Amino acid sequence: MLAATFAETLQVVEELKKVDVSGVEPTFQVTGLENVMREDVVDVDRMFSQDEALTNATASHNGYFVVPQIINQD
Amino acid sequence: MLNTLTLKQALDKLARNECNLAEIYADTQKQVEATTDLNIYLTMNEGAVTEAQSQAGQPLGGLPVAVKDNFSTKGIRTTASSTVLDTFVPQYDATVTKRIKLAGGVVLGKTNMDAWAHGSSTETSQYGRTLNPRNPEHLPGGSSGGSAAAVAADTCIIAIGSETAGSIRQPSAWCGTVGLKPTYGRVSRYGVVAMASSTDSPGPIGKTVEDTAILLNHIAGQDPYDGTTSPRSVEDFTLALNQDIKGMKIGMIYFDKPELSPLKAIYEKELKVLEELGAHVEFAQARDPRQSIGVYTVVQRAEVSSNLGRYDGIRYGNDRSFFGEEAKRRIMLGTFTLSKGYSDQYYMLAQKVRTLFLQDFARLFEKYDVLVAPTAPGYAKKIGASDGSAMFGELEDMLLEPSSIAGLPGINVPVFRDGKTNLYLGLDIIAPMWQESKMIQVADAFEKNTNWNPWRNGAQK
Amino acid sequence: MPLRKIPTGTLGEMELKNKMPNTYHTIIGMEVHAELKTATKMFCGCKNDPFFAPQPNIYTCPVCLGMPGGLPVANKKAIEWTIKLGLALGCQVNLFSHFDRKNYFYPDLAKGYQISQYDQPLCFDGKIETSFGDVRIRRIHLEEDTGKLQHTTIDGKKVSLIDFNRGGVPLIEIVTEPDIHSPEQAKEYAKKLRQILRFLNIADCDMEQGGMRLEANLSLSSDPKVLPNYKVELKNINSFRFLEKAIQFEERRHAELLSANQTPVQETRGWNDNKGETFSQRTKEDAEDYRYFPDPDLPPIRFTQLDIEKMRATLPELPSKMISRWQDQYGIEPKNSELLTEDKDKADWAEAIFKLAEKPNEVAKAIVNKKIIVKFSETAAEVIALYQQATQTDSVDETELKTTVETIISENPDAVVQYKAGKTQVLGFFFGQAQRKLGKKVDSQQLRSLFEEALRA
Repeated sequence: MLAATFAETLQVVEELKKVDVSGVEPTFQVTGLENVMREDVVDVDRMFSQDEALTNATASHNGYFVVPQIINQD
Repeated sequence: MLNTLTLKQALDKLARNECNLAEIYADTQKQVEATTDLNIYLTMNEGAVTEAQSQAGQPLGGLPVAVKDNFSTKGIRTTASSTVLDTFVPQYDATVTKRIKLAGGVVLGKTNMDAWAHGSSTETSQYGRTLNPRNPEHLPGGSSGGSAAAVAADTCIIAIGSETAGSIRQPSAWCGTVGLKPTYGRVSRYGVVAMASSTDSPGPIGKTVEDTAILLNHIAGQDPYDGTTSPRSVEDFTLALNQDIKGMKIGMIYFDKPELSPLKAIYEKELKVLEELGAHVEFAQARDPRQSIGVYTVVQRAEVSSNLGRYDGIRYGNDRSFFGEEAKRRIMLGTFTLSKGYSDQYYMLAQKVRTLFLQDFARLFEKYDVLVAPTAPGYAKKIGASDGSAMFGELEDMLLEPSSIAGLPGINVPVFRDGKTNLYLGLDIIAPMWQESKMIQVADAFEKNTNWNPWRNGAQK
Repeated sequence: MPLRKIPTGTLGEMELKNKMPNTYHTIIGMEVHAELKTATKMFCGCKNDPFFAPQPNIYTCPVCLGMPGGLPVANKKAIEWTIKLGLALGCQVNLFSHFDRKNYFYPDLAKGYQISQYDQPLCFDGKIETSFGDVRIRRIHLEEDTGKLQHTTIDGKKVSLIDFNRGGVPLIEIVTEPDIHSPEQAKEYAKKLRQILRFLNIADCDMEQGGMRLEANLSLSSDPKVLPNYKVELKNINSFRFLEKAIQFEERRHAELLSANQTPVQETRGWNDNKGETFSQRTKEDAEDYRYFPDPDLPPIRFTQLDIEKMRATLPELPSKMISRWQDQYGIEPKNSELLTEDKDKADWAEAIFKLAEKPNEVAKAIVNKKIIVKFSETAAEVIALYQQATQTDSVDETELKTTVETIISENPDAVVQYKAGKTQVLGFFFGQAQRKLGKKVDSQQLRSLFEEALRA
């Protein structure tokens, strides 16, 4: 089933190959914006307290997020 | 029933003390309870009425706003209609949410949507589909189906949705409401569950063009939390209302598509009103929207697969095993598109074809002030229509994808109602980037000079 | 086939050393990560202070915690500092660059991708000079750090604890060409890089805290012109000594395998200092597929040449320049300059002292060899005073001196025998005796020549 839906999707995507894109640059950003940066000042308003940060955690312990250990990783 | 008022009418009545907020909320609440079968809301804001009282007199008057469930609302559960976020309560507001509140609007509840905004029917919601209030055997469209339905059913005064490629305009068309998709970069995406980062555009869904213009005024503008928002100043969009459209040049595009031939006559007839108002309307040739499907599919799914990477169930929510079929499919295709060896083939190629669409629209806008097209290829489909079709969304949104990938603003207005089914057709009006005022001007003129808007003569029956 | 540990003592060090240089050339490329000490993180305004945070997870926000709807906005200072480093290392600056997403899953990676730079790094093509030759810098780019994982057991279950205070901190990555050919050169390179980072005052490089992380990719080749078909990645090295030792160990290990016609496994290895050996950490496939693509949330960065020149003008005098200028201006021997140019503040402090000193190089030597114990908080005048006090010599009559010298020599026949047998450090003992007898501080040069002359007899 998944294979069929994949095929349907791929067919539409293959249509792209028929388009002549010689000499055309890709557009990653339609806005044309550049150099959007921020000053190096601490944003106290947006920082979470430890409670806020952990409030939705599946598991937490002494202020840490907890996850079952993955073996064979550093 | 006060819940059927438009935003403008409600604000006027409140100002003249002809009604009060408690009454409006009572009527709205009654309607919400009467329409639970439509499955519009996933979570209600218990404190709405109390909050409203403190907002009286503000620009949005303390009035109830339905918010699509992919907008973070502090203290109110936000799920994006996926069980991955079933228990997620954000500790922060999306910028749009914050701005609505600052203007005195109140979040009434979170509306249903296609899970993760993946779809055009609201059928992929993991909380069940929403039904079309115009005709409950039909779908409301998507992905902002819940918000469009909330407006259509008068279970709010106005709503907020988001569009990646059609998700505001298409459900608005299917539900017979006004849906305004701003220019990409006009409204902040901060706090909105990201779908396709390079096209996501939050926007208002409302009862009239005026209503959407009012809300747009409050949510538009640069946001330091979203680096893709424009520093361009925000004009008062309500100034574009009630304006003469004499001399405006309007291009009709996509009407030559064979799928649309049954509807062509309807549109042609209805669009005559614009000519009568003095605008020059003619058919125009645009790049085949079929090509935009490929662009949108590739770009969106690549960005989606990356954007969904954060849902591992550690810091919040449930883990990836909770993803629905559609989400899994999109992630896989996105991953495939970006993988080594293919990214040059598909991703780069898609971004190049995107440039071609940008160039095509630039060419059209040298001649025309706005472009008009059918919003959707037809009426709202019946329940179950999206089953089994992986490309359902993309095909339904075909006429909207070109303007979406180009970042252009567009607005849907109701253009026809089928007397038998009570279902609507929508007209999409597209403007050049940053020229929402132009499309609002034309949309407003159309709405006020035709009888298709359900709320045109005061509250709808 | 299991790796055969080379037992020490069985195969002599000398034998092995002879085996190495004649047969194999070591080829090393290094990747160094350094945390920038900006006030805030790379893509959000959270406080950047992971090491001294009193609690875990207190410097986070929706952005660096990877919450729904979080969006990055780049830290201008971090970008400027990265370019400054590039300019200091003689790099070219990419006038147009952008950020890319590096997608992979790991619990310490909140967004499921790391924002980094793939094909358009901020800087490229520079070099660092070492006494063994130049080490070319291939690229310098900017990215964000991950959270910190800690493994432990809770209620009998093995778990990992995650702290995101560090998640999102700006990280600069410096990659070299494979121009390093010995453990010593690797160490020198890393030390020089750290010195420059500190001089520019953009990173503290505290290795124990992980403020600077060293990685070395190494392989051996029998032909220096032919790049081998394998490489081993040494990771998680947090000291220069460990780096040196790990490379030495690897050289021997590879040499042995290659001599037996085997190719070392392409993998990642760490250094176990307790056992004195490297160990396998995980297999490195030919670059995991990170599915890089330009981050759509971050507009690209464009600088003009004028912008770059303005930044270049703010660069401080770099260590190598300063050291040679000190030599010209104050006669300071380079070996004394090393310690005094660890960072800019120290260097400025030292130079203030040189300006005041009569014999700057002597003072430098005294500080470096700890003949005088000085504090960084002391002024130049205070340091000079200390030096004068410590080295003040009383003038002593030459005759009195000669007599004292002869007396001490005659009183200590055993010591004389030792000295004549080659133990010249006995002179120190003689000096001490002389000073005691005289009750004064005598110029050591004078003493030395007198003793040597007398002992020659």
